[in-house]
Amino acid sequence: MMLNLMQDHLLILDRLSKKYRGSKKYALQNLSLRVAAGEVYGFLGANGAGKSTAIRTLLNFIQPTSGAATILGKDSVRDSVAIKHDVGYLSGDVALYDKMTGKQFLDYLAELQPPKRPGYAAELAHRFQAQLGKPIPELSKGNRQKIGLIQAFMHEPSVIILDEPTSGLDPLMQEEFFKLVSESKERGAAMFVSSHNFAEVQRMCTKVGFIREGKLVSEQTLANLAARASHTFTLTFADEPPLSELKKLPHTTVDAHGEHDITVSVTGELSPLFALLGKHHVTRLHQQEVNLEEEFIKFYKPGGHDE
Amino acid sequence: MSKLFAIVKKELRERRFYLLWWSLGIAALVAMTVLAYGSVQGKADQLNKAFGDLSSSISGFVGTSDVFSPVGYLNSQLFFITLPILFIILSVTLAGSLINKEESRHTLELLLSRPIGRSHLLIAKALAGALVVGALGIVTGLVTIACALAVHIDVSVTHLALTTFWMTLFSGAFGALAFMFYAASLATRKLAVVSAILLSFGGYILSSLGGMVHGLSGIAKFFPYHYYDPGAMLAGKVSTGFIVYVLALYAVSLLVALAGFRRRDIE
Repeated sequence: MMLNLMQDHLLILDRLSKKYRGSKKYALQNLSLRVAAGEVYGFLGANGAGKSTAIRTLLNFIQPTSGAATILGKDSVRDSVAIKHDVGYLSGDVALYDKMTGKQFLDYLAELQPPKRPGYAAELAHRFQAQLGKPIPELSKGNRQKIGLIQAFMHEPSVIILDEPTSGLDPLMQEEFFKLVSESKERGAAMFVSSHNFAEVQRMCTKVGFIREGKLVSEQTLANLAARASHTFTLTFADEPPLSELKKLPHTTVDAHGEHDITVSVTGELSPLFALLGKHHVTRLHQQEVNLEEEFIKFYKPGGHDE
Repeated sequence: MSKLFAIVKKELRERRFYLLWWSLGIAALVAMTVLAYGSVQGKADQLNKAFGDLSSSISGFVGTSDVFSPVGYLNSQLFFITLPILFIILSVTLAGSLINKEESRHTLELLLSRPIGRSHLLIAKALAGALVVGALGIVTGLVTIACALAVHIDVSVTHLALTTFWMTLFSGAFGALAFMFYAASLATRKLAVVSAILLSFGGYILSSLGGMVHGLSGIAKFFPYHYYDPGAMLAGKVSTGFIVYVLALYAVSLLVALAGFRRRDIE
């Protein structure tokens, strides 16, 4: 079902705070963010930064100390049950019932939350090659993760909250997962994804928020981050590379060089580099894919970027 | 309602072997105990006289000085302490597995991520627990009655059935208490087993010593065991105080569990 409210924010956190009983520090402090329909929001932060607390508060597993969260326009505490008709959730450490097979597990959850399309869970199981007939204790971590993903998506929810979704999946299954995310985006679902896997975040998220010590320290679109990230080029010259001239260029670092090849990283404006290249005989230019890992890590470090 | 029954069905299905082993164990114990009455039948007066010469503290702990009459035998050998101990252990461990185990394994989060109210979830769990304990009570009652008929114990079938019912209800109340402690808050969770044991076995010891140690009988009145008199139940008498106390324990346990669980953080 395609949602009509494409511009609406399906998930809103408004100055959400949580202080655990007996603790002097806030685990979550005035966290405010919004996730629109069709958006995949990457929620990043070091261990203990408050990611899980935020997710658990959103799902009403724990009560907020102050502030509020709304999902699909409803209050996350007061309307918790109503909200969950249209929410999918995958926890970081997938918890399944050990006395069941994968099929029994999914059937049980389907009884508690009937899927919109009866055959969709089986379709997902087929796509993920999930071993539903095996008892759960006999499943590998990857196969348990597949069952966790199926239960989160099988009722085609409008809001999907995922914690480390590709953990344990092989590359083929990761690819299948990214396809599923893409399909969910297309039908207008809002996704909130906590992850430490930068490649995964870069691949599927449209926006990222960085949390440190319970506070949102920065929120960026992926396009913004990519613009700020350094661009790495491998250049091949007909003659000796102009090493000293390249080193003098602003915001440019020479990463490696050989007899004819040189690898440089440029942050920001690219014109000075291309102006210099115009004066030389360049036989080949290759741009490496932008890697946001360095940008991400800046926000992880204590005292790192605060914006 | 269908979600509630789905949870109950799943809990019962998971515990079917647990229930089977408990049933077999208790059935064997009850059968051996009741069938053994055949060997003392006819010598009751003589044996009771010999037992009466022993210290009164012993009769306090078995709940009666009449140990060899039909009622006295069933009371002292089964209903006063043996069956309640087993049923209390079953109920308290069951309460732990229904809430605590599910919470510590994080499957509780999985359930609560579904559109199920916390109160519904708790009621479904309580109902599943009650059905397991109730089923074991039925097995116990049927085996007791069958064996009593086999050795011609002179106690009416109705009284045997009702005594088993009251014993099951009484023992299950401690499971309800443990359930309340597990559900109400993270702080009380740690007290669940200790509290249930203190209230049950502490009450048993206080009630047993009450006749001998001055002042203890007053304290014993606060404990449920003080009101539990299976000897009278086997003779067809049940005190209103006992019924009120046990039903109040269930009601308070459920209400406190619901009030606490609806608001508390899940670990």
